[in-house]
Parts: sequence; structure tokens; C-alpha cells
Amino acid sequence: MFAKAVRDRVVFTATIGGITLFWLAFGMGVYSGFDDDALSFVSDMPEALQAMYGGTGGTSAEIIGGTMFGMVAPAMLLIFTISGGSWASTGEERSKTLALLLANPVSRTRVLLTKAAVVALGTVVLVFVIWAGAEGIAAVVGMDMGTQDLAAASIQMAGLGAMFGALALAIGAGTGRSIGSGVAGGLAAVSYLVTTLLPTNPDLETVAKFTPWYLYSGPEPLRNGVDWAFLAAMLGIAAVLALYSVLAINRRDLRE
Amino acid sequence: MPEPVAIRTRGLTKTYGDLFAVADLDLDVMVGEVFGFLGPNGAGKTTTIRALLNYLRPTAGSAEVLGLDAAADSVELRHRIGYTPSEYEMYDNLTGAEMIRYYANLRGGVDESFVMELAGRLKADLGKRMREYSTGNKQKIGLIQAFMSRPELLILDEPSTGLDPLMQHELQSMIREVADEGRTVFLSSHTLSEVERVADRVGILRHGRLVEVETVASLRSKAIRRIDFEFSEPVDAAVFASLPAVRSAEGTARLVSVSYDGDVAEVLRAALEHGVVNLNSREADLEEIFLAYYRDPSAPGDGGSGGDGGVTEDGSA
Repeated sequence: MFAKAVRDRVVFTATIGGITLFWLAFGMGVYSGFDDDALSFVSDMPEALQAMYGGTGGTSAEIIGGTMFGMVAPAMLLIFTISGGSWASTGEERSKTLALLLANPVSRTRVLLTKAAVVALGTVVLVFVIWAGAEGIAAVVGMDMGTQDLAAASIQMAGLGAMFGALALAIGAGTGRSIGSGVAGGLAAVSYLVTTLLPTNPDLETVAKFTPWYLYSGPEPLRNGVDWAFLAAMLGIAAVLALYSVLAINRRDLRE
Repeated sequence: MPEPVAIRTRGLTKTYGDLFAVADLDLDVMVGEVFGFLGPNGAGKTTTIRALLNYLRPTAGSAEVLGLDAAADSVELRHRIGYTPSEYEMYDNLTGAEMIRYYANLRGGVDESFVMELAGRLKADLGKRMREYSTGNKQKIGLIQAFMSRPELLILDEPSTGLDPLMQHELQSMIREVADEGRTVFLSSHTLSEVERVADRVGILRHGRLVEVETVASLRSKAIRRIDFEFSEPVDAAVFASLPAVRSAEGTARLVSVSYDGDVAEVLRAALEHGVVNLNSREADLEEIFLAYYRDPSAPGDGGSGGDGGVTEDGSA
């Protein structure tokens, strides 16, 4: 079952990885050609806009690092983990293949956890590809990433992906419907906007710290390295949601 | 010594809001028999099967399969059960052979030569991808995966769907062979013709309630029969209509058709009194009694009380 699940996800994983690498190569290629004067257009943009696309900072490396690891790469990773979480808990049911699969001596728990493990494995692979790809592309286009800790941001991003992926998994396990993707994706988008935009207003800055996205971006892993406490918090939330998923999928009726 | 029971439900009930999909179902299916589970679409047959396989949680009541609890021991049970659902899809990107191998690996202990034997009997092409299969060919793959482990209990939900008459006949042979080996078949269908050739007993389900459990022979004995009379002189059909056993009598002049149940003696006596010269007795129409169970609030024959753990319409045992 594991091998089949891997085979089922390999094309999607490669597609997400490929698109992300394309974005990285495109962004780094463009920004590597700008000198500091040319980059003044970034600092001239409204603060809210700078915050929203993550590209704050003075150097090309800071801008491209902030944009790619603040928005583009996490967004792509979340597309992978959220759709993967929903697929793991409802995919067989929605495609009406579950009835025949469960005619065999396999438990609902085994089906769910096997597929969730495949998504987790894909997340690790993607995070590695994003980190290695960013380092490699930077070297190829001659961009000095300076103190930007791409590895730390990648590791922290894995926690973010796991957390939202587990949310989609849990909603699917509880309902048997694909709304988990929409709910988890919507929550990720809202929490991203809240986390990035509210700090532009000093009165609302504190509110931004109470979003799931803050567990990823708050400690600024690109500058400060991995925040192990926040990473543990994200993985802990993911573990609790996964545990709930196992309980929920065993309690409800399966759809025809 | 009591016969071992393959399936036993007591008060099995499944509701969706105010709707009773299955109501207070008491059912005993004996080891080694072919049990036909009959009812129109929506009667609750599939809901019952899904409860037996732990696909859904009963609202009330209990279900035991092969002596084990249907919910708590479901994984262990599915080692011993072969099941073909009424509706299902398969993985489009796999071939029939890959599908079978996938399920065989999950199940373990499947004899590959027996799989090929089943494929040969059902004339299943295992080389195509599932997306290229017709409904009937997909059904053959579903049937092979149900039969291939030689399970103690086969649960087949509308298994003839999409099969041509020749393959339906082959399937009936396969079902009888399973029973001849002492294994059990629970055969759900909405058409009597699908089960009457192979079933030892049938249970009839309507609106989620079991209205009858009988042997096929017993059901047949309760069926409405029909005799066509030819008289030497014109006879008024009303002569027969007044007899207690007669359900209907119609005809013109010298030809009268009489439908009756119960004792034929009084019908024949009346015919003799009016100078009958010829008669043609038709085969008991089992389909007619079956349809009567579907249509009417009270079953014909004995008024609908269950023969073996059945319940009446008001739910009393």
C-alpha cells in the first residue's frame, strides 16, 4: 500500500518541486543582475506591500530570500501538504475505491497513516529540494546569500507544512469530505496576511503573533536560524491533529 | 446440535435523521447456505451489508459474523470474508492483473493459479488498464478479488451488475460450488431471478424491515397460481370469483382464467359443474408474489410474519 501511495504522489510532488525551483531560478536570476541603486524601487514601495510579499531588506539576497522563503516556497509547500492531507484522509473515499480496498483485511487507521506517511516523506523531500535548489541556483547565478540561513528556513517551513497538512487531514478524517483543503488553505492564507500585514500598524502588531503562520515566520529563521521551540510547537500541533484524525476516521460512517 | 451461524444480527438498526434505513433487523444466516437477501433499491440491503463489514456504525443492535463482533473484529473478519460491493471504482492507472495482485498482497495467501482459473471462468481480460474496462469487466475483477482467497463467507452485493447472461450463469455455478464446499454466501439482489436458482433461503427486505425469510420452495408454495379453463358452453366468470381461494377470475364466453392460492379442489369442482373440456395450469409465478411483497403493506400468504427471525411491518417479532 505504501509503494502504491508513493507512486500515486510522485508526479504531483515532482510538479510542485519543479514549479518552486523555477520560481527560485527566475527570482534569483532577475535579482542577481540588480545593483543596490536599482533595488531602491523595493524600499520605495509601500511598507504593507513589501511586508506582504516578504521582500524586505536592503540587499538582493535579503529581498530574494524574504520573498522566496517568506511567501513563494511556503505557499508551494502548503499546496503540497494541504492537498496531501486531504488526499490521505478522503482520497480513496472520494474516488470510490475505498469500498474495495477495505474488503481486504486492512484497517482505516492503516490506510490513513500509510498515506499520511507518504505525504510526510514527500514534504521532507520537497524541503530538501527547495533548500538544495536555492543554494545551487544562487551559486550558478553568482548571488551571494550572505548570512541568509536557507537551511534553517527550510526546516522551519517543514513544520509549517506539517501543521497545515495535518489540519486538512483531520478535517477530512472527521467529515469524509474535501473541504479540508479549502478550510486549511483559507486559514493559511488569512494567517499569512494577518502575520505580515498587521505589524505595519503598531497597535495591531501583537495580534499578528497569535496566528499559526507566526510559528514559522515570527522567529525569522532566515536571520536567526531554526527556532526549535516554535518548530516543536508546529510539529506538536500536527501530531495532535494526526491523533485526532485516527480517532475520527474510526468513529464515523464511511461514505458510499 | 444447533447449526453454526455465519451471520447473526439482533435488533440491527440504522437511522439517518428520521429515516430508518434498517429497522430492528433480526437475521440468521447459517454456515454453508446461500442466502438471498432481496429487496427493491433503497430497501436497506447495502446498509445492512455495510454494517456487517463495519463500514458504518449501527444506530442500535448488534451484528456477529463468523462468531466475531462485526465492529470490534472487523479486520480479522475481513481475512475470512470475500466481498464485492454494489458500487465501487478501481484505480484507473492499474491493469486488471495489477489490481488483483495489489489486493492479493494485502490479503496474503492467495493461490495465483486459482486467480487464473477464476479469470478464465469469467472470461476476464486482466491485461487492460481499469479506465479501459466496461462496467461488466470491472465487475469481473471485483468478483475475482472476492472469490480468490476461498473465504469462509462471501458477501456479494448485486454481483450480476453488468454481466451478460452467460457470465451470470457462470457466477451462479461458482456460488453453488462455494456452498457445496460448506462455505457461506450472502447474496444481495433486487431481482428474484438472480437468486432463485442458487439460494437455499431468501430474506425479503422492504423499507428497512425484514418481511419474510423462507426457503425458495416454501415461497413458491405460497405463490398465486393460475388455471385457464375451456368450457363446452359459455360460462360467467363470476361463478369462480365468489370462491374463497380465488383472487381473480376473468374471461369471455367459453374461456375463463382463474387466479387462486391455497386449495385447488373447490376451483376444480366448480369447473366440473360447468362442463369444463380442457384446462391449462401455469407454473407458479414466484415473481408475482415477490412483487407483492414489494408493493403491499402486508405480505401475501401468511400475512407477512417472518419465518426465521423475521419481523412484521409494525416491528413486532
